[in-house]
Amino acid sequence: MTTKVPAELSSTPGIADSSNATAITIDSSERVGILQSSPTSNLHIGASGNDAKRELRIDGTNGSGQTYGCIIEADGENGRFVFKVGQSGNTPAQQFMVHPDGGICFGSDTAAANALDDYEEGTWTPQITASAGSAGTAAYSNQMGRYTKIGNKVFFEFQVVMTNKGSWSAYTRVLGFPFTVTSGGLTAFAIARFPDDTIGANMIAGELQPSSTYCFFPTGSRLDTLHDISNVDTGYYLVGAGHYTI
Amino acid sequence: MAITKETVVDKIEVLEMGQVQVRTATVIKEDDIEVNRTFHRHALAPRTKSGDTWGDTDISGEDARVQAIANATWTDDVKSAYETLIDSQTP
Repeated sequence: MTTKVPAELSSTPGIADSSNATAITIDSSERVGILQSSPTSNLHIGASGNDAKRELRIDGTNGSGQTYGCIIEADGENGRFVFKVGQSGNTPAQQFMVHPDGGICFGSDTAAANALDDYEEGTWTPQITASAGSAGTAAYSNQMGRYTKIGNKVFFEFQVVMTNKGSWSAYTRVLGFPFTVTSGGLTAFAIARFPDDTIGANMIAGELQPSSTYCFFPTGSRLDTLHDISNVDTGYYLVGAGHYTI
Repeated sequence: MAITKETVVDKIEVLEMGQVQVRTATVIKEDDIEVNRTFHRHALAPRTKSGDTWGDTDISGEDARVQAIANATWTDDVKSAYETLIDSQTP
């Protein structure tokens, strides 16, 4: 490659060049390499030797002088992409990092288990069914379910009206939760309305079952009896909300 | 100006115990440029229990790719393991 130095650049005070090797390369496709003689992107910062990290540093000022601003660091050795921010001239500290296994770690954390790796919003369709029998002529109205998934937590809300109980029997349940509940243990959630006027002074709660996408409804004075669909009144709302771990 | 709406199964996930999670995207386009995308989810278990009896999960109404993945995943061993897991955890 021929090194060309335009006369107007070689003598300008605007560029201070003390290099003893090529630092900047512009190829025939007008891609610019910094410490990279064969750039493959429009701007390509190269790395070589034992130094596994390359940084892009942007300084700020505090109104009277230069301070450290932020550093974007490519940590090739650990496969990390790190964002550091400094204040009042202090050396920038890691604020967050893109983890090589996916997700974002906050602060100086590097644990894959703590990386926030998903966010999703959507809808789901709640159905009142039961633990035995079959759908038959079961019918519903006002089926509305919403969820927001943040990492391994699913936040949900739903409402549903059963207009025909079909051939379902035994324990009342709601099917259709958007993600499978983690294994081991039950997950409780709150009920705002429940279609049964025989509950009286008893309590009622939602209880998501492990490794599944459905819940039962414990009731009674100790919440230790599962609600039976024979007591569901058609035409009334079942409304609930909560969150669970996947 | 042409506004179109299409529904597509855009994510199919298989969990350790064989559950298949399906995400359906509804995409609104204006002159072929996407202007909105919303998601709906449901999940399918390898087996379905009614009373004390286990049976095959009905996937006849599912997208063809979901059926293919479920049928390939839900071997007898997977179904049996799922039944054992649920029976051990459900009251």
